Amino acid sequence: MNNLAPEIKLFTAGDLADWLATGHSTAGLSNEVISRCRAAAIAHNPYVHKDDPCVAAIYINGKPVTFTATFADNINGTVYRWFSTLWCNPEHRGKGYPLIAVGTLIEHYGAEKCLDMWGAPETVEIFRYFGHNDTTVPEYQFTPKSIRRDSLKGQAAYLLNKLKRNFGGGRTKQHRTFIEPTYRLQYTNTVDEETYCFIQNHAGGDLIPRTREMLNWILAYHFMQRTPLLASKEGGNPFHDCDSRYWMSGVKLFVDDRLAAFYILVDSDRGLSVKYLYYDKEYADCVFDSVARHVQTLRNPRFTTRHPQLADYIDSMHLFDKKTIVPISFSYPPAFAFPATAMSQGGDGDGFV
Amino acid sequence: MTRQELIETLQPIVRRSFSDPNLLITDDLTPANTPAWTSLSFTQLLTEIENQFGIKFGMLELLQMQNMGSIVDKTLSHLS
Repeated sequence: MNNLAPEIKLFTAGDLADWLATGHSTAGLSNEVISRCRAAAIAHNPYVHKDDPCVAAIYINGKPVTFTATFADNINGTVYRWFSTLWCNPEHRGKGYPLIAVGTLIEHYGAEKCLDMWGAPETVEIFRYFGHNDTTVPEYQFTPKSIRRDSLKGQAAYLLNKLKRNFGGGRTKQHRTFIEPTYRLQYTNTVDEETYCFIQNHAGGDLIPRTREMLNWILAYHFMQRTPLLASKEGGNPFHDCDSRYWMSGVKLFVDDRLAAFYILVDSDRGLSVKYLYYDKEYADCVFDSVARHVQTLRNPRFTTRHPQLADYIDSMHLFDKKTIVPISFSYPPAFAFPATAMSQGGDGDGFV
Repeated sequence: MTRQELIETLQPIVRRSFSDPNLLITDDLTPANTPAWTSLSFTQLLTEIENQFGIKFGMLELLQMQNMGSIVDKTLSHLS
């Protein structure tokens, strides 16, 4: 008879680093628990100590059924832990495993040092359970931060990616500018001060007005996850971490040389995705039209967004088959009081929670 | 407090958390046979139970809560 008693395991940054370096893990890490590229992004974080637990996984009968991970960040001299990844096998949802996995790490670091990147109802409720009564995050005093690239692999991957970006042409080139009759798109891998002021002014009812540093972290973090050398070694795993093709960039939309929108665009095997869309409501039609044209040029047959109005607009343009437009949302139980004006962006922005 | 008395106290809490005014507590209630039992409603239920009785469940206890019967038993063990 199978032993179905769940068991929780914690893995430290040192466990992750050992596994990455040797390919073996005495702690029991495997590709099934966390992908190597995601592990690299967590373990090579400059603010993490080798003994810090970074990953919590729940096993049943020796198989991982829930997984969460944190990455460390320094905000005004204090190291916080962002919860940016949470996955639960659909067969085991509703049993509180995400609560337990997240809670085990929160109990280790203290609730006051933990931050919720998702802002989804489920995770807001988990954080509320541990004493967070609001979803605000500490404000950063922004200082430019370089990503440490300790390993040879990391350096080689960084250089390769840089070369690809600078000389690759096509859509991998950064800061390429499109000229449209009424608007202009600019790719960027940095949220600068002007852009961040814009985001603050147009965050609207978003549950978490993300900080400038955090948006830069999202761009950097995703870049680190997808370093090509590591990504090429990845096989399939249940956490959908790696695609054979993945590209991501911030996009600034200017109308008459005035910044009208900022969003993050991801083009991968799983489809095109527009995330973290902040826009000036005055230019809503223009913004949606621009995004629609933009995604059309990228010729990916599948499109996902968490933004309902944008999804409706793209749908109305008939750019994609109905079946390929994937509105991603969580199931909100009727009793949950969700702010009417709030725009939800759950999970770690990749559509899988 | 007896187990039966606890179940009677928990009944309105469970109905409120699961948004189901007719739900009856039985030991074999699980997420698989209770559509309203979602991760969110489960978290809300735990929060309400802890607030009601002034207790705090440990992570290992949560891990062992496989059905409503085990939730009742864990709560009872805190109260006894």
